[in-house]
This record gives sequence, C-alpha cells and structure tokens, in this order.
Amino acid sequence: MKVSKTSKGFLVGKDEKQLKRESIKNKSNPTNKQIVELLELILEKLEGE
Amino acid sequence: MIYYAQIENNKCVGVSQLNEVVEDNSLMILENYDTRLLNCDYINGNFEGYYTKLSTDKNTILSDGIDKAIIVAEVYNYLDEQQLEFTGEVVFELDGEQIIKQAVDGIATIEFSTSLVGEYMIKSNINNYRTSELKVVAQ
Repeated sequence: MKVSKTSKGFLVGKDEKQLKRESIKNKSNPTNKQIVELLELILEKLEGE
Repeated sequence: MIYYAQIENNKCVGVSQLNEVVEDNSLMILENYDTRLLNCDYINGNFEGYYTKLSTDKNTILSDGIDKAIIVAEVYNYLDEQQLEFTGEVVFELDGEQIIKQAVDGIATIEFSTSLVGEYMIKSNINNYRTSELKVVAQ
C-alpha cells in the first residue's frame, strides 16, 4: 500500500512491489529472472507477515 | 483535597489530587480535578488545548481511485466548546503520512480516495493535544 499526498488529501494505491508482482504474474511467458524476482517478492512478503 | 496540574516545558503533563499543599514551581493549583488539561499548553497563565471531531460524507467508498470521501475536522477546545474562530493548523494522518491543513472558521477538510479494498483509519490532531480517528471502508 502506498499513501500519496495530493493537494486535496490522501490517495491510496498499490506500491511499487505490488505493481511489479502483478506485472510478472500477468506475463504469459516470464523469463527465469522474472520468476526469481517474483519468488523473492513473495518470500519477502511472507517473511514480513 | 487539593488539585494540581503539573507543568513541564509549558505543557500540562499530569493532573493530580493531593492531601496537602505542595510547594513546587511546576505545580499549578486547580479548582477542579480535570483530566482534560492533560497535554494542554500552558501559556501566560492559561491552558490551551484543541482537538478535532471528525466526520465524513461517506463512510464507505468504492476502491476505484476516483470515488472519494470528504473528511471534515471541526475544532473544539479542551472544554469541548466548538471553536468557530480557529484558524490554526490541523494535522491529518494516514498510515504514517501527514497532511497539514489550515483551518478556516474552525473547520479543516481533506479528501480521501483509494484503489485498494480495505479499512482505513484517518487520524487528526492539533499540536498533539488529543488524536481523533475516523474509519472509512473501501469496497
């Protein structure tokens, strides 16, 4: 979750890691490097919970 | 019983009731035992503390990043009297991020929108006297 501050208030959206995770997940033919990146992001999330 | 406010660095850090008179420069004698004085500033012999009452036009919004809730902070003093003349700063906070808004006629407002489903707790305070909270749900 990323909280952005605008001139009028707060706007909440996905953070960079969430966006990256989704972009790799949606690839039909990810490279090995992208799969490793995805695994790292998942592990990082699991460790944080 | 004698009531005291303990003042440190021009701020009330404690309210107490004691059986005897205590001579201490940091203790101010009070007429009543009033815990609302806690965290008040003590300026020129007067206590000052302001807080907000939060409300919104929508407790539930769509998580589309477009729908928005208007969060309204009305300013009250520590005696729970609305302060329609207040023009100071109101701090709004969400998940550690802060926005400072200048109150106009005792009211400050911000907008809130999100693209993520969830429950969001928006907080506000004035000079750290007392924090108010408001929950907005995004579906």
